[in-house]
Amino acid sequence: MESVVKVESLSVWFGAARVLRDVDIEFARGELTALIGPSGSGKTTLLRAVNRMNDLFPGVRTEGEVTFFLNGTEVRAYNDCPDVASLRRTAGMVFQTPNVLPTSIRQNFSIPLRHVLGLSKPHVEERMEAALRDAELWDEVKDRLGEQAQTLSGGQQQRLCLARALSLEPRVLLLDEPTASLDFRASRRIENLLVRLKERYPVLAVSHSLGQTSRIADRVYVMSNGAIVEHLEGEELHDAERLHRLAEDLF
Amino acid sequence: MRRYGERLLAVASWVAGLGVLAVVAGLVAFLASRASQVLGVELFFGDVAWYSAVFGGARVLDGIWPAIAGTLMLVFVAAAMAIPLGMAAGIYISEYAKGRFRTWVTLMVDVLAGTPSIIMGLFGFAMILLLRETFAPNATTGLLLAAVCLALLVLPYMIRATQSALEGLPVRLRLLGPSLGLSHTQSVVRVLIPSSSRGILSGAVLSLGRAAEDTAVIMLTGAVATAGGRAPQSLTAKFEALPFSIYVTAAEHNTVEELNVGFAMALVLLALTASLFSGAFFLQRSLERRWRA
Amino acid sequence: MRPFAHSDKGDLLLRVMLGTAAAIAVAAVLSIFVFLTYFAMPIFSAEGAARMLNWEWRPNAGSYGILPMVVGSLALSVFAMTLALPTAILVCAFAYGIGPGWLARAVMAVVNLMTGIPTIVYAFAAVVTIPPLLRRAFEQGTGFSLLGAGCVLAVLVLPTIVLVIDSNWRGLAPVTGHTSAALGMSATQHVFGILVPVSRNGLLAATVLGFGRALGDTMIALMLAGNVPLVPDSPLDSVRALTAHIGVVMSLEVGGPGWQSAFASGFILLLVTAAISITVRRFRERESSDA
Repeated sequence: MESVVKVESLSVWFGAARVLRDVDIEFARGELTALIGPSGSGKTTLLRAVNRMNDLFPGVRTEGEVTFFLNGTEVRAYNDCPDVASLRRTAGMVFQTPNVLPTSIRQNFSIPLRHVLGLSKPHVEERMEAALRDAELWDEVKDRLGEQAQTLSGGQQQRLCLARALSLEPRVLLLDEPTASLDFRASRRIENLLVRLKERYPVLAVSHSLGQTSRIADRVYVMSNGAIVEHLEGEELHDAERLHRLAEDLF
Repeated sequence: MRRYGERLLAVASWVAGLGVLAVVAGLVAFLASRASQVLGVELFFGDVAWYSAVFGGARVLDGIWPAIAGTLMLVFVAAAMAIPLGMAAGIYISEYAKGRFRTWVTLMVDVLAGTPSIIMGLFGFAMILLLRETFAPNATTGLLLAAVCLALLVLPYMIRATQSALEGLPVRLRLLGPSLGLSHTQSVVRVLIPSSSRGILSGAVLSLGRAAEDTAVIMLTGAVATAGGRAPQSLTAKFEALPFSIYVTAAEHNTVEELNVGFAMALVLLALTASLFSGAFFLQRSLERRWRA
Repeated sequence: MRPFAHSDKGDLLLRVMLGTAAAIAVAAVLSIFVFLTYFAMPIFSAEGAARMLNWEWRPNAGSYGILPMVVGSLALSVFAMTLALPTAILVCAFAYGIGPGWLARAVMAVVNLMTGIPTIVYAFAAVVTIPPLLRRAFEQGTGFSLLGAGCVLAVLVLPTIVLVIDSNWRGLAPVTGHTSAALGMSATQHVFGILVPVSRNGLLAATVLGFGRALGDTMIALMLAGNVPLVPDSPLDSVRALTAHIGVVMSLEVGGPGWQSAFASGFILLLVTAAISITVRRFRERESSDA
């Protein structure tokens, strides 16, 4: 397996509380890696540790290392990271609830593209269209790019967020229960999208449902109390009996 | 016995609740009934045509237009100072200030918010006294001074509104900018401020209302009973303003009709501030609803 | 990796501008303190203190005592709060379960609206009605009295108090409401048996804040309390508040010890209201650390 991101002996404290304990995981090209576990087990903290989003909360301390392997170079996220903002850009992140900017659909792309990447207007349009096509949203919004993003349905908003992350040309995708706030049909649509996207982007996703995980994941880390307690891959993911036992232990 | 006490409290609550409605309804009805006896175009402009008073600078010696114009100018000048300053300070406190400095700034804002308006007026007056003793022996009270003092009065409202609009944003919005690779300042300017714009706007509208209603400040800083029947002609001129004219009417009216003009001015001022305050209230509510999810 | 497109210089410029604004706000408060202290300096001299810190306001006799005004301010504010605080609690009780939902919402909407009614409007409407009423009812004095001004002042500060209590109960009531309903308690028992005792800190904060507003009001005291610089014996007596004293003196006299007494009054008011603001802040901090 060709790792793209490697997390090694990572521990995170929120104040005095230790939320992650010596976590080691890796995820690879062409794969969708899922994190599952009961709520409060540290899945979201682990996800946010990858692109150093935990730093934004006061009183957080992180030990260990996260290494990105990009085109033959190694970039370390914690010890001597050259530029945290570009590191965060390397990872496209999608949140649990749709997190659109309270502006037009177009500005949801132009604000990050112009201010982060410094792209000119025609380039912004080009990238936006490509990203919206990738997220299978282009046909639905191409005639209403000037409208408020908040007028879209929940599922559309979530695909918009995914497209916005893709437009910045990330190297990996970090998804925090991207379907948790959506109905069945919108969830399925995003799942299918992810299965397609994982060919191009390694995906690390927190998931709230074991069923979903077994449908779309290639590798699963099971978390409990801030530690990885189990690691499944390949055929193990389709072993119904094992999954059933896991479900009983976890939930 | 306990039953009886409980009954009594329930009845008292009804009396208090309905009493609030009665007091406000009574006040508005009282103002309206007395004001209606003089309400009309002449009330505002006397025997001068309204357009020549508003646009031609004609003197209105027998109408309340000069007081309205004075109040509008006063509010405009004060807001032009307080709103940008308060917004900037609120953004700084919420997004940049840390540790001790933050504690001190918020403490000062709290103290300023609790300072009586007459103190602001007295402060303005003290500034004039100091100017007279130093490099401007002819300094005197006027529109600009009153506006500065009013700006001080409303500054804390503006700061707090901005601060609480920003601090009330959901965490996920705070994470969004950095997750896209925006720097902190880019995130503040492009994501957080636009998202809290309604709350900030509500603070601005509230500030306008507070500046329009205050009497104690302008009483000491240059308001006069009659200022030539026109809107203030310069920033250093003495000026008429609605709240002060109402006060003067209460003290110096000779006829019932003059008193009724006072009621009309009170009604106009009430309409102005009540619409500003309810505007601010609804903006605030819509901000809260927007980010509840 | 691509280099950063934004410039750090722009960041710094904006930061400096915003920081300057905050510094101006701080400087404004400090200069209010400095100016008022400077102009109130005479009160710190032995002679000035003898002239102003006494009970006689007799400018003709060279006595500029402001202590009656201190008492006047306190009496007015205490009187107003004695009326306003229980009323505010009852209004909140009405809004939190005793009154029907639609009427409770209407009452709270009107209370919000009341914060937008200018002081001068209350004072003007009251000055025409209340003193004549009191004159007729008690057949003594002018009607410009502690009683009349205190009642109007109570109306003025009522919304401030109600809104503080409301913000305190808003988080509390849904939780305690279910519990008390499950225990078979009535709405009245819920409000007075649970909400009021549990929100003691909030009520205290509301009281202090309301007291500060009452103390700081000028127009109602000036127009309704009669402005007689004597210590009142009964609620029907006229009183002069510190705020009103400043208003009266600054408009009547030109310079001299009269002005000094106004600045001294302002200085005292400033110290008291600052202390009140700091106290309220303490309450809020304690509350948020409890939560």
